[in-house]
Amino acid sequence: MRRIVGVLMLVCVAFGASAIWVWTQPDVEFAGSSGSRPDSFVARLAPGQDACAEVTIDRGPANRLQLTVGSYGRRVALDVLVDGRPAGRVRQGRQGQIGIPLRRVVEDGSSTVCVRNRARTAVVVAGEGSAVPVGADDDDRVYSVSFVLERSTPARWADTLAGSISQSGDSAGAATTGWVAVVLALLAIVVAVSGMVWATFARDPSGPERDA
Amino acid sequence: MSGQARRAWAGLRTATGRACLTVAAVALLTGVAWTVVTPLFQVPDEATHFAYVQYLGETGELAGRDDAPAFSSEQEMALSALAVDSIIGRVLVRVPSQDAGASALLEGAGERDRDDGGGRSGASGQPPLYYMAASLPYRAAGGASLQTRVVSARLLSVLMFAGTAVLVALLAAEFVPGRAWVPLLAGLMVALQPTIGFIAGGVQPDNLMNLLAAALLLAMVRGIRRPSVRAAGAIGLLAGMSVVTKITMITFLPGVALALAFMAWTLAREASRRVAVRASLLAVSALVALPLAYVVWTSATGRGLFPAGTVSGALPANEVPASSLREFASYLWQLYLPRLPSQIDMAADAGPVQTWARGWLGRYGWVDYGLTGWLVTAGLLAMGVAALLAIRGLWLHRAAVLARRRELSVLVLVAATLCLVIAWSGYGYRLGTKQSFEQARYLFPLSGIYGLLAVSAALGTGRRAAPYAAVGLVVLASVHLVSGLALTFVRYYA
Repeated sequence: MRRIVGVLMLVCVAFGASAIWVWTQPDVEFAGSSGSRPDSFVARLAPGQDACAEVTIDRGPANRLQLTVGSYGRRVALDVLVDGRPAGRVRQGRQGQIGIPLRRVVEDGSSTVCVRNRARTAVVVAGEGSAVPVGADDDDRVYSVSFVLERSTPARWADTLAGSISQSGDSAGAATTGWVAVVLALLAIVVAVSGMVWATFARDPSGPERDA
Repeated sequence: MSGQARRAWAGLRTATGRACLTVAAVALLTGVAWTVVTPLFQVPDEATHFAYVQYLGETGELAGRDDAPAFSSEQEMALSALAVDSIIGRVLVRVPSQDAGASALLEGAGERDRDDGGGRSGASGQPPLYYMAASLPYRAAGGASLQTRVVSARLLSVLMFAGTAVLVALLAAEFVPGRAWVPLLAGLMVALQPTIGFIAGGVQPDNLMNLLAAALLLAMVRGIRRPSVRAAGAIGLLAGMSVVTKITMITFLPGVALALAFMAWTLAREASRRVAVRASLLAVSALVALPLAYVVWTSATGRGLFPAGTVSGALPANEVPASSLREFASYLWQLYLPRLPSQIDMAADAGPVQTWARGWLGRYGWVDYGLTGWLVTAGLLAMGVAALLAIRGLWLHRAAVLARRRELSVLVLVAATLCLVIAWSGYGYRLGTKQSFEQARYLFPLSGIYGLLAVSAALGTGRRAAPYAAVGLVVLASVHLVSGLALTFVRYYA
């Protein structure tokens, strides 16, 4: 039984340490975007093909590109080009929402950002407009791909979180400050865990309840 | 104190009763926390659902008119003030602050008409029971601001969420009686689950659907064990109520039919055929009563049964590819199971891990933010271990499982039918729009089964370790809840 309790304590410590690690990681800030959201996959890129969009950066320099890619379960390999020049690369990425670090900083203003498919198979890129037809390569469709440019910041995620909670009360339509929600959630966790421990040990102080 | 009240009071003083109280308290706390955290109209489709509630609350009529917009002038202005459409899908766009003029706009919205909406929308394509229920708190807060009226309706959802969690606890106690931690674990797993809580914090008919689904599962399991005419009537009534809450609940009807058949069989053997026939007739009458009333009402008023709005992004009819049963079978497989090498990939972004596991793990808002990076891997790993333990739990207690095969066969049939219909709807939606349809929340009517699987996972660790594992699962669920709330704060307010 001691071993089990030990394992449980280890799990709790591991989760606590993970949470601290996550909350002390650097955060990213929004710098600019192509103005489209990743509603559906709108561009199908054959090997070597590009998808481009005009991006406007109006909140300081950017050093990361975020986009949503589908690769039919295969590894993603992409090059990023900013105004025609290589700026970043992902070699063996996974599909989904991905962030690509940029080798050079992109400053305020308009730029043309492209991603080039370096894999041997097709990938699809998300954006707004009519979705990619299955098994067809026609490109008469009107669409715009969704690129978001970000910047790494020295701020920690925990600072961002604390700032967000404070900020939530000042947002339009807010019923009350977010700290109320934090207190309610913590109270819920205390009630849940203590209730569970009580239900486990209540009948027999020496150990868990036996089978009925 | 009446006999019934005395029995209820005595029930609350049992281990299961105390577990239910704890679960209800936790669900209410987390539900209200989600209500506070989530910005107005950022729960999926909340704007259209609230529009229906508002129209019904203001006029007493069902939404779905052809000659009116979906939103009232008041709500239209509020949506604009809150920049709702700009935030959806744009993960780095935040809720505007009060000093950005949004508050003045919101106040201005209060002077606009409230009753000039009621047009077709995704909400008007659904039956009205939830909207009728939510219009009551809306009317109670009638003189207050739009935010207060939304929050009033949201709080009803929170009550429904708490009810759902309690019913899941009772369902677990039905299957594994005599262990105090069992109902507590099952109920808490739902009360702390952040994606269910996120929906519970909004104006969403899914909340009543989940409540009725949990009640129906419990009623069917109890009815099969202790059949009676009254139990059959309750099952029929709950099934009827659920069908006039959301069309999805039609998927429960095969399970309901099977449960009633088991009950009739037992009643015919243990009581008499006449009692069995009476129970079946009462169940069927109770089942059709509300849907029939709805049909009569809509016929009398000239309103269509399900006057839905147009689907955004729909392809022109002549461009929609023909459906095929073979293709659907492949789609169905790929939606719930790993794709076979011989199968054509039906979608680049869907699949069991991407859609269901990651969705359950945490996809919030308009499915536009959630856990990322190694946290997803850790979460999926934990889910995988829990799933294996749940299977082991079923195996270790196979004698008990076999003894409850009738109840379990009903649960399996309900789950299978729901999964099949989700896949069929998703397949049609994909053909018609080329967009994905499925979201993890569509499985929330099965939250009772989720609670049971959590209990099975704890039991899978072995007899002595099970209560400790249950504590561990609740700790994990708490971490899960914190992750969801933290992501939501950062998503909307950073």
